Amino acid sequence: MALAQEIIREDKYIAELEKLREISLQIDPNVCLQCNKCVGSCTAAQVYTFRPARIMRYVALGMISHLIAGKEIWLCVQCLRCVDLCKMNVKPAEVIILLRNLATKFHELPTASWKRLIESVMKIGSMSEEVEQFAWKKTPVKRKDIGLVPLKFLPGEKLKMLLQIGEEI
Amino acid sequence: MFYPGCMTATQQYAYELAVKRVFPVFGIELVDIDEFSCCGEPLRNVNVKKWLVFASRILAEASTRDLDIVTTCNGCYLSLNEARSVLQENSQIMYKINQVLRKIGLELSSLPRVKHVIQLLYNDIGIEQIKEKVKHEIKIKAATHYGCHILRPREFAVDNPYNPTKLEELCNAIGIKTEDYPERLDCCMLMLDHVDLKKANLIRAKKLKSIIERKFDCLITVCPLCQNEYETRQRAIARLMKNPKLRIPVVYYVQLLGIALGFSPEDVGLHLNTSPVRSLLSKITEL
Repeated sequence: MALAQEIIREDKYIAELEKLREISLQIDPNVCLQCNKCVGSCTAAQVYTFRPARIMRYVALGMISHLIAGKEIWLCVQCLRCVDLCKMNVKPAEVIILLRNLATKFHELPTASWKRLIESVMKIGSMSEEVEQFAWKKTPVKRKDIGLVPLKFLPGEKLKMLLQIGEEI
Repeated sequence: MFYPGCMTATQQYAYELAVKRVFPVFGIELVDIDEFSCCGEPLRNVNVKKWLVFASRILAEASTRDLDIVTTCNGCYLSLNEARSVLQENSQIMYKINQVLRKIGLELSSLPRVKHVIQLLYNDIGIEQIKEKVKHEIKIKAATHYGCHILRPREFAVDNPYNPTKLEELCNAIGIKTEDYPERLDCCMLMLDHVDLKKANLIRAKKLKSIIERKFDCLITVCPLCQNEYETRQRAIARLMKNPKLRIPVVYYVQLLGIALGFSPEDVGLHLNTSPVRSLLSKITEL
């Protein structure tokens, strides 16, 4: 791809990221000093070649398209050690959240498990319906069987309204 | 207002059961949420706007009834607190969110405080009052697990993020001995489950193994998500490691507190735990 085209493609993502920045926590990948403290403390970096500082540099350079097309950003477990340690207040974990937002918008969720989770929250407003538990690993029980009040989920039409008009913020 | 969060409300019933037994003992009345929905945390990964409206709706439920929020879940604790701070710092977003909320009959006239169960126990009830009410001391040695989102980021931490001691102090108050171990502040790896479950289980196995080797009687948690990872997945982890001995009781602090206050194991939902809690019960003396 010609360089000019590449730059235009990246512009679209950068503009989108700028928009998201306004309604999230204060992130600032541009001031990252590459001290790599985030890498040293990173839970995912213990087992993968996942490097928050590298991702921050890519974002600062406006090279976003390959990040949101790949699986790497989904390896972060959001333990937030990087957020706490960062002297420049870059908030790497939050930058990764926003990259995931872009990834979902322009591509799709990385795994079936993620899809199931998100679908459930959008559809019934909860991670799951009431799941049967087993008393002493034998007798099946739900909330009412152990004296808990039955859950009253947010009605479907209100949920739909929230999801729809929420987009207008 | 008591906000259990999805995990407690739909799966980890034991936590809600224990919380609802224990707090009235200290004169704290818990009001259930009117209409239940998720705090929005999972949606944050796909759309921060949707997260913000979900979290704001929970805040508004409490605000309309002039209540503060207490939650059992670390995820909800941080999600609601962060939403609160976004709304607090940006009046324009607050205005827009209120427009959305009015359409479903709610309003955020003020921002309620959001507390985690551990804060309510430590800051509001206090160690002294807990000690006074204890009927049976629980003489076991336990490993503690805080989970990430109540310790980081710092502005919302319930304790010192690098060397938290509140959970240990709460344990000691009811007779439980605690000890540091290298994996104490580790993450439960929940979010990796959706991408690479095997690797996540391997990391959890390392923690469980370390706890068993150090001869702890059980692992104590304060978060339904962490509990689910270390307890519900324990059997799968043991299979993965081809080590059937990789089994240890995992319980909520509030469950043990309930027993110390004189409740029966079933009162605090211990019969719903899937880890080998019977071995723990036999160690809890005077029962």
